Amino acid sequence: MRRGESVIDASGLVKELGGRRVVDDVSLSVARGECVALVGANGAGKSTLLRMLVRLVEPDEGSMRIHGVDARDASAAALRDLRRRTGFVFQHHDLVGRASVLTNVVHGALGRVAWWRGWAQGIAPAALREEAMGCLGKVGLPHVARQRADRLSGGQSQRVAIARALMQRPALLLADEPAASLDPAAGEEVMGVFRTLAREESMTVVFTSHHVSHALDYADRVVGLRAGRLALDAPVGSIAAEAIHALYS
Amino acid sequence: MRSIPEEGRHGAPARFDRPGAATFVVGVAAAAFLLASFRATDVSMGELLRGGPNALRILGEMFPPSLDRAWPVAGSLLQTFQMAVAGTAIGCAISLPLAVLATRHLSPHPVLHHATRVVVAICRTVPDLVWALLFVAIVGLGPFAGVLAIAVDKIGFCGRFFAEAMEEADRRPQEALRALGAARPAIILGAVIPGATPGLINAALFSLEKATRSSVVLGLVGAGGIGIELQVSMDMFRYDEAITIILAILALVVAVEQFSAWLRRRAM
Repeated sequence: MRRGESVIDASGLVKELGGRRVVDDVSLSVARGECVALVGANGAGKSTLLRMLVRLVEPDEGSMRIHGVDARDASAAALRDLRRRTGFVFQHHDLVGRASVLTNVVHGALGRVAWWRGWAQGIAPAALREEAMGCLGKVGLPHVARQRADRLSGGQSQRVAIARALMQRPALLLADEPAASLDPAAGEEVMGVFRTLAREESMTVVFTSHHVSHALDYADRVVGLRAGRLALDAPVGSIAAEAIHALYS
Repeated sequence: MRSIPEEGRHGAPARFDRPGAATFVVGVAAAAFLLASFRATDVSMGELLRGGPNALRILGEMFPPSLDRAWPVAGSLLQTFQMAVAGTAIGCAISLPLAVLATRHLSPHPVLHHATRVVVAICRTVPDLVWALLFVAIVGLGPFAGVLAIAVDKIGFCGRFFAEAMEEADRRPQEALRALGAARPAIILGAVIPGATPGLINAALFSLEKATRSSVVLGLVGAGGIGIELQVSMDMFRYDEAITIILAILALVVAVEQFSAWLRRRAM
């Protein structure tokens, strides 16, 4: 794969927290349209690495180009644009609980529309509201648009978080343990949404997971971390489940 | 029963620790100042007992309450409540942006954060009666001076508690909006204020209750409301009118507290 086609091109990333290297010299390249599972035990550095890619956590060392932009030296405006083009789905969904589902999805456009037009669905332009309804349709939840976000089930809540990310019109979707707080059925449902987005909309997806089955069933490639270092990087077809299990031992 | 051998016995510790020299000196000084305060302010149980018959006479003159001036009193009571509502609304509206500046993680600069905290603290520390005296001197006698005094007092109260509610609002939705490239005002309107809503409503309702009580006394310095009616009745020894006014005030304060409690339950 040519480097020009990489959506993520990170090299030698390091992050120290509390005197410990939680990410230690990690290099990662992800091509456009790839679906990558990032696996490893608790504290292996998966979430930190993912957050570093949009500078929610600042790297100490290393370089990274996201969407071809030097993310480490990006100005405030360039960083906002980079974040706008990168959907981020959090483990705990992180919706605004007291706001409606539709408002939460409209929030996804806040990186690309003027702030006063997108902070609540009530004042959003009609086109934005319709687009948000379309994103809710993609995750199968248009019927809950008027509900308060804190009244949803865990699986619904995570799907709304995905709809919010889709509203960004992202070229890259990062998901931090998207199924960790869900029951198995809801987890499969959410992972199915990621697979559909990756395969049918050619979206680049990177997700972290503790579930070996999720990594093998939904990703094209598995990247494993152990104690902050890269320990595995291979296409799904060429690795055995045992190789992933070994990361947790 | 087996007796405890001599060497295994432990005496109970002293009931109270012996105070250190500094604690002793501070304690004695505080007690001396308390006694001096009683003496300087003519605190006297004898005077209180000698005033007993006066209290009984005034109480006797209060009943039955007079309804001679019921309509003017009702009008003043309504004006008192309107002063409280207007002052609280203005105070809350100004407090909201000030609270954003006073919230550590939302303020654009630490200097602005500290400066806003100082302004809010000044508004809170100076009593509302002093603000009323000041505004009577600036805008003249009448309810507008009272509204301004209440508004400034509420800036002190709501500015602090709104900022605390914003500090305590869940940070994760805020981080989620930051991660998707939202600007600071959008994060404040879209995530901080909805997250802080219960705290904001609580503080606003408490300040309405407080404003209703304080708007009663603002009239005593000419800042409008029912206070002036009460003062006139007391000065004219019309205790039967005074009790009507006092009962009307009591009814208003209780009604506002009940309404505020009901609204708080619904909003949470």
